[in-house]
Amino acid sequence: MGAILELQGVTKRFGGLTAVRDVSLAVAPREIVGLIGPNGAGKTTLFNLITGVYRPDDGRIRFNGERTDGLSAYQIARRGIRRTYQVVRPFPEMTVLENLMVGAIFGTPGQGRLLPVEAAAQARRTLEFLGLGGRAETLSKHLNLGEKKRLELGRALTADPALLLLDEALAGLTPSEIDHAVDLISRIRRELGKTLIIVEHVMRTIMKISDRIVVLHHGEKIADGPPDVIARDPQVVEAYLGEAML
Amino acid sequence: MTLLALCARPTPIALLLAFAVMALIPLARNPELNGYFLTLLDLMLLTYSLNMVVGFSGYLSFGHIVFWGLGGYTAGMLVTTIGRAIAGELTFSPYLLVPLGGLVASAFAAVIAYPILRIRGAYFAIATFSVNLAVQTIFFNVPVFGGAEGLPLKRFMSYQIVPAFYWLLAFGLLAFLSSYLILRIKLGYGLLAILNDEDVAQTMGVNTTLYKILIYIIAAFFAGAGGAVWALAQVFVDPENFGITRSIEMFVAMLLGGVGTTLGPFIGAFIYFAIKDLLIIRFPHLHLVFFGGIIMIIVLFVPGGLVGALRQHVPGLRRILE
Amino acid sequence: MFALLLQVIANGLLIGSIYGLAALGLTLVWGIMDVVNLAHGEFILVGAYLCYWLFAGWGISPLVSFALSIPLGVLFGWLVHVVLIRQVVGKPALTTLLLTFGLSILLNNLMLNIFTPDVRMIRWSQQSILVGPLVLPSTRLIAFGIVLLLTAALYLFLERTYPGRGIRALMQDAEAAAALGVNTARILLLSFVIGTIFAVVAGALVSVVLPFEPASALPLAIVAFVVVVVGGLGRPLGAMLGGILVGTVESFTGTFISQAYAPATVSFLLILFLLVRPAGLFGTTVR
Repeated sequence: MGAILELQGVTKRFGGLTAVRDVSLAVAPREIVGLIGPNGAGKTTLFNLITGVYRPDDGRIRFNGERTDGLSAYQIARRGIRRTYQVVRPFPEMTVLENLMVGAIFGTPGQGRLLPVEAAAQARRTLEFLGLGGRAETLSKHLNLGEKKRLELGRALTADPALLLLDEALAGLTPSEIDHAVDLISRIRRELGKTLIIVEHVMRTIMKISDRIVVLHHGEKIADGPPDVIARDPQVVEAYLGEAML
Repeated sequence: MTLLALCARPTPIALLLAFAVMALIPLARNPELNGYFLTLLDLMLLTYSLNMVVGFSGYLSFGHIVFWGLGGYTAGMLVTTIGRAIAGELTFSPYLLVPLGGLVASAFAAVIAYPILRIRGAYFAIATFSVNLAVQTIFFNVPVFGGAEGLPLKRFMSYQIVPAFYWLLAFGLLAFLSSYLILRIKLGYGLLAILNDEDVAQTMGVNTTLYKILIYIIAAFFAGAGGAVWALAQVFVDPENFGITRSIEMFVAMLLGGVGTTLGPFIGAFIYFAIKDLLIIRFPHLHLVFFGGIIMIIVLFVPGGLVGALRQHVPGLRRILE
Repeated sequence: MFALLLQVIANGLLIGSIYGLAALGLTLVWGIMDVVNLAHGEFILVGAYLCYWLFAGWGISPLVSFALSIPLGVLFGWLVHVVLIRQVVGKPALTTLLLTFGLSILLNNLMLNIFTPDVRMIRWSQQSILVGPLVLPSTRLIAFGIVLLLTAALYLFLERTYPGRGIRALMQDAEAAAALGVNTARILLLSFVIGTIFAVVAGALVSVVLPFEPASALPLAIVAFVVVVVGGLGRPLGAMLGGILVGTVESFTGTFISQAYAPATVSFLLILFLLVRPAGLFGTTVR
């Protein structure tokens, strides 16, 4: 079984600062990988490298066996990768339905030739799946944070991507919203067969939903393994203690 | 799904009717009326063009008038060149050259699109300003283009306002239909995504560069065609065809009607002329002062213009006005 | 030839320093508030017409007007900020640009109505100082001196005073500045007022060294924009050096190519910079 996503020695520098250093990582299909690390560890930068917002200075990224480093963001997106944002970025002046329609219309090949009517139907199905059906005609700037996060998830899902990158999908949510989101994430894998990489700060939750945890610290991968092993890893504990002392 | 089925909605039907009624205007044989509506249709066409870029993609094309001017000079240069070659008046209707005006404007847009659309926000707005200024300077100074005196065309063609009127009417209708269609296809959704958040649009698979270039080229065509008709209707073209007054007018009309809507430029052009007529009677020299104020009031209090305000406050109209 | 070259550079330096002053106001407002004031050209003309009106109407020396243009700038900047700009800080570029575009149309046509479209210039002092082969008009030298004075004052203000440091903090990182207790609303007002003062004073200086008319607003604004782009956004020193560079380029084109192309050259320079070096000559970050 080949990896769906494979990073080999990926490095990204900004001026004198190395944000991501020599990170290698393989993600299997239908796997949920939790990506954790203290603030500034390079988690979001890694997402930006995978999605083509930045190009790596060094190393290779393969998606479904094809080199994707060097492609532009929209080309990578069309191969089947979607993401959500740490600070939510729905299209504010569009309705919830229109947001999801953009997702559907610009989906992966085969889905991409949709007519708007079909895209709307597909968007509505996703909204039902997310429990946002009643908000279809609302301008997305009028949603609350929890709804905006679900909207972003939906916008990614309607494109029917193989790989979903969720950047702090749970941060800022109420406990009941977190439960709902956790349920959604496991259903996305179970019912839709997606692969997910999740950046998260809520430690208890990420340990619970991930098959595997990858820990970044100062841009380097310091641990990679099952949640229960990671929780006891002395290097990881130290990295987090270091942050707590700041 | 055909274009016809798409248009079976209140907004396109109402506008088709409105254009049909306007087609009757020349039957009145009133030159003053013809002239009035010629100016109005010219502004409407320009506003549709501007709205495609500003309203659909969010790129503030401040120097948009450059396409109108280029269309005008294309028509002017063709008429004088052909006229000199055959040493007399054109043997065919000069208005057949109008599409070429649009194509030249589109070609210019295609050339500058890639570099200039990489710049965003205020930088883009100012860059388009500068492009217009640079082009105007060239036409002002290069003798081939007639320099500051411009190109008088009356040796090679006669003054005909009625064909000009119908050409503008046809292009106005075409501009509306194009706007309406664009918003309903992939291109429109991609542009709306760019307008809302260009970076997000990219990571969602929108080829933002291509889409921006496409809409810029399409919009330039309509502005260029409009400029060509105008030049032929005036039987004259000069560097003032790149002037600031019309730039102001199209922004006011677009904002009055409603940025980003397909009905907006149509309504906006009418409101603009209604207000202008009122103001000119009372304040012959101050009307542009008021328009400056009107722009600020719209931006601060009614950013959606008339169409936007109606859609917002009258829920029943939301599905009707587009 | 060498003497001519020196003269061209001197002209560019003296006029360019005024451009730099005008651009200082723009770069402050743009860098700190993220508001691009499209009415900046009209703001400059406010100073020019004040100077002209006092001189032509009452024979008041431009030196007095230079001083008066500072309180006028304070008043005018405060008024525009409170009534308009305050409402749109933080809004999308489309909003701020259209708002200031409306303001520019309003002011420009007011000027056309009040002062007519005629080209004006103050014939104040025709004396020139000869330095070797160079002819340096005294008005330009005085203007240059005032530019140096004001730039130094701004520098001291930004470096040495509490509100000045607030402005610098805000220029670097708005969130961090707010977290550190900088009174953002007051700093924004202050920045806009300072920006306006610089525009109005630059205009007053323009009135004694260059002919102007209401239609000059656009080319003046474009020159200021070019200078900001060349010098790097939010960099006062960059604006001054950029102004001198743009002035020199304009002076070269005017002398060696054609006066008619001087404004277009500035436009080409702008487009070139936006494409090749968007962070400006003295900037370090791109996008």
